[in-house]
Amino acid sequence: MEQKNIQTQLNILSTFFLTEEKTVKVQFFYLFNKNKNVTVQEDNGVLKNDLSSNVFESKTIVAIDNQAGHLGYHQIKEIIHKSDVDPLFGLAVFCNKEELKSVSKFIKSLNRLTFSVFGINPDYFFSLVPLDGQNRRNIEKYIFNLTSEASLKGKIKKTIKQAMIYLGLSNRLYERFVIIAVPEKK
Amino acid sequence: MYIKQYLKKNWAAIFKEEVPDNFDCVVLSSCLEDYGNNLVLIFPDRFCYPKYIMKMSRTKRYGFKIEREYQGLLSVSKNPDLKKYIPFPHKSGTLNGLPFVIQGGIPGESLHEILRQKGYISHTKKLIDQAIDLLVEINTTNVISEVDKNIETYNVVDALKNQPELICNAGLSCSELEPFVEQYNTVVDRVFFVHGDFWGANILIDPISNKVSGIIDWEFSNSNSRTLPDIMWFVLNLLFAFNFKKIRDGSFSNIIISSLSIPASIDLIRDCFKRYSSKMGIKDLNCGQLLICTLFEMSFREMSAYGSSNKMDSECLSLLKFLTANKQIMDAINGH
Repeated sequence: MEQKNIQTQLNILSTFFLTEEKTVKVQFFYLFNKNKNVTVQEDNGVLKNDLSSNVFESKTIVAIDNQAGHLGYHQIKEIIHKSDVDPLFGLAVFCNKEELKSVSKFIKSLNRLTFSVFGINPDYFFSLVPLDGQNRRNIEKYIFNLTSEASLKGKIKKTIKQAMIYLGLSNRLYERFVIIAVPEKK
Repeated sequence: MYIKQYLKKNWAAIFKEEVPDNFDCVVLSSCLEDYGNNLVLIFPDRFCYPKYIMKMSRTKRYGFKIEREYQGLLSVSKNPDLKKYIPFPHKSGTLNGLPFVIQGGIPGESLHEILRQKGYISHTKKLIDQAIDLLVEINTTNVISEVDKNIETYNVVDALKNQPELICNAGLSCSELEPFVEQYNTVVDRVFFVHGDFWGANILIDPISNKVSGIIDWEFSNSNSRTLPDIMWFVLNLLFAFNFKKIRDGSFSNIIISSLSIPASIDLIRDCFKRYSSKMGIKDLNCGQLLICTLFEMSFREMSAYGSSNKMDSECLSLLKFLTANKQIMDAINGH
């Protein structure tokens, strides 16, 4: 992944977890599919195939970028299981539509985390749109209107997007999804 | 989300209203550069635009922009004629050491998009005139903000004097630069309030009333400026918006250079300048000179403010070099 994109992701994630008094550290795990085996890469750039590192210090956000599709599901579970409730300050899992349902279901089953699902809008730098709020349609109409091309093609694209929002098919407009979770007590 | 919890906890204190039952936060980055900001758009239930916007610096290094924006908004909000057009500054502070400002959201469409789509017609001309009239109000706002109080003169020339290597990096020699510096310091003889990034994308239009509803993005505002870059930056971007469709895949500078061969573009520059200068009441304000000084400022602004230049800086520099080399165009702009 491009370095600038990683930085933007980290930065945006920090925004979600900002507090007045705490300093937080983001520990990123990238899951790749290499010949049907999942490779885990941490944000220090060292490739690792095991998850034995002791990264779950206090006030750590664990961010998992799953680019291994369904194969990554097991590793996501493993990373989350390895993190304890108390020191885990927050969790963010980037995934595709295919595994979104199963990962959400798994996080929900933990009972110790409250979570929200966001869609990553591909057309405006890096924007995360909440998908589980009551105001979703209005928000999507606004966000997908932020960029527009003056060309006929751009206008058609915009009209199609607005129609998809109206028809409740907007999940297809997102590039990827991110699940943001925090411990229930916080 | 902790950011949501923070807002919920402090809602009444910040916004002087009861915390709503439900609200959503959209988080987005304004650009991918590290001097960009992260924005949290706050949508209370049923709102179709963000009622409030939290703007946050990505790194401490660029936190001064957020502080400048907050102070600029505070200053302009004291002007009763402008107050309704600006995002009200509710709070500034730091979270995890990163400066932020929370301001009101303003509904509206970007003027730049409207101009690109509709072109120069009587409706868009009215919008341009209204934007210029508001710009005059901004530029003549007579309040020096706390941030600018201690700065005698804040301009690019001063910054360049301290960093002469920037001039060389831009491919200019000091002798080439001298005439600009000279002009830059003699354009106006008093201080003005400048927005600093006054162009169509930062001007919002209410789709119902078809009038300007707001002016946003005040992070380059300066209440103690000895230059007036806003009007010419606005006009250059008008040319860009109107000619974007005609010159496909062109850069900012190429589109403007091509547009300058059309007499209507020269007329547009002169008409806008005429309206602006007559309302400003400044005698001997020279259109061409102001254009050169604006391009000079825009060519080096990001470099002097952030220490790194972006694509737009080099676009402005190309335009600057083109205009200084083409006397006949400058003569036409000046009406000779």
